[in-house]
Amino acid sequence: MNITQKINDAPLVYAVESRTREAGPGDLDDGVDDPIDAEEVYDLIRNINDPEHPLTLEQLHVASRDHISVDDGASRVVIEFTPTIPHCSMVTLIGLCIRVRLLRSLPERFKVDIRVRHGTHQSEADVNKQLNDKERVAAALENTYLLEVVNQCLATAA
Amino acid sequence: MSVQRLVDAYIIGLGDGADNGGVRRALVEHITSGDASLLELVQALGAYLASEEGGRRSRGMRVLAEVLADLPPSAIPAQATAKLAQFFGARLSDATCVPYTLPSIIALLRLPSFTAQCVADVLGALFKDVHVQSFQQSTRCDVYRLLDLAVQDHPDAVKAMGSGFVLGFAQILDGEKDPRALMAAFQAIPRLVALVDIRDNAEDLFDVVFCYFPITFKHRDGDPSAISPESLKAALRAVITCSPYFGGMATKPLVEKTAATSTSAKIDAYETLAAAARVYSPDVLRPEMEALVEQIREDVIMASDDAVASAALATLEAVYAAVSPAAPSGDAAGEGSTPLDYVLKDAVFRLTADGIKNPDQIGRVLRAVACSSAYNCTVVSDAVLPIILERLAATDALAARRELMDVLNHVLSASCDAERKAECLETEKDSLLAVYQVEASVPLDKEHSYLHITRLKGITLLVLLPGFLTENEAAMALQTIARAATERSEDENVNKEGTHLLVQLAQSRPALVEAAVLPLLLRALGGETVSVQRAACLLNALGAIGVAAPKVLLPVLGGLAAAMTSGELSQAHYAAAATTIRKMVEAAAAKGGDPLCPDLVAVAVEPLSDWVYGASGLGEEVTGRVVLELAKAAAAAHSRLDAEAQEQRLKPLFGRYAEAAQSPAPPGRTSLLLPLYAASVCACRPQTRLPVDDLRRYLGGLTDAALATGCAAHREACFEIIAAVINKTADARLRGDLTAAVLQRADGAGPAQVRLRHWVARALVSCSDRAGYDCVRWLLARIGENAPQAALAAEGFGTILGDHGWAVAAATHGVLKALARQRFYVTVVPEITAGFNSAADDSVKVHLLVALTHTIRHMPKSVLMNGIESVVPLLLSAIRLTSAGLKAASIRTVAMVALETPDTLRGELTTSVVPLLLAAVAQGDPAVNSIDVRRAALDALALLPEKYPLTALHTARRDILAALARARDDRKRLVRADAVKAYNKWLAFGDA
Repeated sequence: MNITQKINDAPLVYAVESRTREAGPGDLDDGVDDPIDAEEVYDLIRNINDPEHPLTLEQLHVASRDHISVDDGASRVVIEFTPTIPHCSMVTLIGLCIRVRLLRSLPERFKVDIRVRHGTHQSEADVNKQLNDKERVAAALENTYLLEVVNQCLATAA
Repeated sequence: MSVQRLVDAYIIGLGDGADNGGVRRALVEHITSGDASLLELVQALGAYLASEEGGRRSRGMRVLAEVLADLPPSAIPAQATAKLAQFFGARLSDATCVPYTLPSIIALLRLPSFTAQCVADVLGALFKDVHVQSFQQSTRCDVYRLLDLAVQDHPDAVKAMGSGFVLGFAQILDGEKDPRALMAAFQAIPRLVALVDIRDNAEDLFDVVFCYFPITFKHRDGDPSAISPESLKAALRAVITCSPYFGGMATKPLVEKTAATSTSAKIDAYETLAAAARVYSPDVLRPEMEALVEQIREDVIMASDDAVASAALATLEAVYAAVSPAAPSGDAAGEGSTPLDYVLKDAVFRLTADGIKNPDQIGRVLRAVACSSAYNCTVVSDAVLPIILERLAATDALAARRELMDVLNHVLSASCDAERKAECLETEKDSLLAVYQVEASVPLDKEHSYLHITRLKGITLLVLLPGFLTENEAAMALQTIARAATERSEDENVNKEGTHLLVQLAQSRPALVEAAVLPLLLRALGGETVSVQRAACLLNALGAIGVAAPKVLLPVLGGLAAAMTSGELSQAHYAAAATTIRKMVEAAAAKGGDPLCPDLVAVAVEPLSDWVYGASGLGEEVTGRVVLELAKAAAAAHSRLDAEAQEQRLKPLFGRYAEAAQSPAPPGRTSLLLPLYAASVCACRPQTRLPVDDLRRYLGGLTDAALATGCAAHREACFEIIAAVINKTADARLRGDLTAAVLQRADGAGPAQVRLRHWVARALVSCSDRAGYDCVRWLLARIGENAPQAALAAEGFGTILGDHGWAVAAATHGVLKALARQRFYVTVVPEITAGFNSAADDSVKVHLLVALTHTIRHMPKSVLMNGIESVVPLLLSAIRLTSAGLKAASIRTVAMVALETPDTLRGELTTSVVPLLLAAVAQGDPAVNSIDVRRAALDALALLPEKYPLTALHTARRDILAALARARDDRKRLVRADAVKAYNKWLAFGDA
């Protein structure tokens, strides 16, 4: 993979929300359950670095809180992300980074679907298939070089 | 001993590497006292100085140099100076002697008899005969020091040498590589340039200096030189920007360096250019402007690093301030492009494009240029404002409006300074007001919060523009912001930004904020229908304004106090309002200092205390909370009054409360109000006299009442006063008397007696009075006996050492000796450990662990780490305790031990520490593994990979990862977040 030649060398950078979820009185009450919600999942992935730029998925608006849906009871998470350009070849790598991050962060009971947001990438169907194919993901993670790249992207998220 | 023998001894000592201090002092004393002359010393050294062997000559020179350096100026005859200068000048051609000749010349330079001719001779020889770069670093540093001293102490001589000196300096510096030597040279050059006209030699000097730019160096650990990369960078920058003659040569390469890939080089280039713009001629900057502006634009728009963008913008401002005219020239309009066009053309192009990309960055660039001068501000505003306003009038798309407003805000902010307000603003006033008007069509939801925030920022700028809005218009604008800060509940970001803007306005327009905003906010706070969330918003805004703007503080406090006392507030909001008042008083007392405190007392503390004392109409629980907050506020303000003012204030307080405090059953609800009384008494200065006839009887009365009362607030208030008074009694005998008077009334071992011992121990231990340890031992004995109050006695160790709002605290003039806690640790912890080891009863052990944990959690880290090894086994036992608070404290202490002295835990790491932490991570009974316990355990687990090698932990890694994976499914969000952090660390730990 050649990432010295940037696919999108001038992405639009957005101001990040400085806001993080503030601790409320219920947060410290053990009697109250805090179900996992979209905001918590977004907090897990917002600081993942883009493979091309020293910018986070949040800064590039690749990931957005509104495009995450979580059903804690049914243990399901669906994440849609938006590549910066429709022909972005990094899209599978970004999806892989999100998957690995959630694999290492969410409870094991969760089933996670990761998709490219509809209409934002020219190979949307292929990418979605690849990202949600367990065996292909497992094979990708056995590639040490790829795993290193993923770990670099996740270094800022942990 | 004769001079010759001393010299011989000195020389032999040099050969042996011995300490020659004594011999040198003897020589100096001989010459200073007149027993021998400097000439005799030179004669005695003659054989060495004239020796054909280099080593002997160099040792002779060294003796002379070291003695000269120690001689007082009066001991060196004036007629000898010229001869010595001549001698040393000649010696500079002898390479072996140079390292010791230079310090001799430096020693002579400070003499008034060292003439300009001497300077010229010596420096001439230095430039001619010495190949400086062939010597070691210390000698080279001496050369630069010598040159610097010559510039400072003999400016006329250096001036007379003129170009010769500059060229000589440049030649010497050429090829220098050591940062210490460079630092010495860089510090000398600006002084030289200020003294000598370098016009003809600027290029020579520039060439040997600029080659170091951008300079980087890594400070090695253990390097004794005090040079940091920043100081070296600043020194080089000072050299590059010290003369306008460098401008022609430096500007272009500096602009080129701004395109460097290294962030630090980029920032360095920008900062150097900004500094240079103030010195170099505008004529040398102008040809490079286009390239510079292009680079700055790229760095601001594509900035991955905010520091680069900030440096670039600061440079833009400095450069435009230098190159733009102060006022329009008559023929400027008809001529070709001006430097401003490089910015304006691009900005206009971007602002007229269909979608505006990077509005914030465009605005920042425009703002930097506009801020550079009044003329530039006018030109930028004239060029940009009409376009933005026209597009805003034509478009309804909210995203586009927000982007345009963003740019507009940046441009307007440049005009907020009275000295550079753009002229076109007045003509565009109506359009500007229309732009920022509330748009009813924009939904008040999170999607549009950024648009609302941008609009609020714009309104603030309109208020801040000098003379732009009338008083009425400004008041309406302020009320709009105040409503945004407090009314919307859909998005707290808008509330926060509104509050922030209100604070900004309160600082610059306090009178307007007081007249227009305060009544609005206070009115909104009144009434029964105000929700808790809205009240919190209003109180937050009021508190922020009061703390940030001293001129508005007293009106805010007065208004809030009046709202409370008049009964306008709903019952639900009294405690929150009291908290806001307390925070404001504390912040104001800390920030505003002593002069403000009488006003704070008069405006807030007194009226509210009177109101609570009278019929406040509040329920018992609310009263308790309000009283506690008011007590803290009273302590903060009262403690800063002078002793006389405190005595004045105490009189009515004693009249009101003293009798009730000493009565076992105070009338009505007075016992609930006693914290107010206790806080003020405890906050007195040690020299303040309490209005009582007999202190012993007073404390005795308080003791009796406290032991007899059933009200906890009353009892604690009495104990606090007793502790504060005993602690502040400077006379040890009187202190002993008072302590005895109190304790002799407290026979028995009931709960009140135990609490009294805690407070007396606190008072005495803090001032390092040994009698305090008697109380501590009494408490340990109750624990050892497993007496009925053993648990209370153990819990109270927190009272002895913990923080308190007013009683025996540093803020309220408590006497806290520096090593008191250390002493407590050294004295009491071994007793607890011994008690633990000898105890047969498990419940005694538990109580001792509780006492130990309370002791340890309040110890400074530096104290705690001393002898922690003996406590570690007990700490690990304490993690097994069932009390969640103590368990968490113990885990944190263990984590601290792992952080500071990891080897202490190494033996028990996988056998005890990890299993205990894993047990603490598990969700189970919340009373045992509370959130706090689970989070502390996860933090400790996350720390282990940083402090121990994998070999020490690999056997436990699998279990830890499994436990952390389970913790990722904890029912509490905060625990899950910590678990994720710890899990990822452990995952990476294994991989590494």
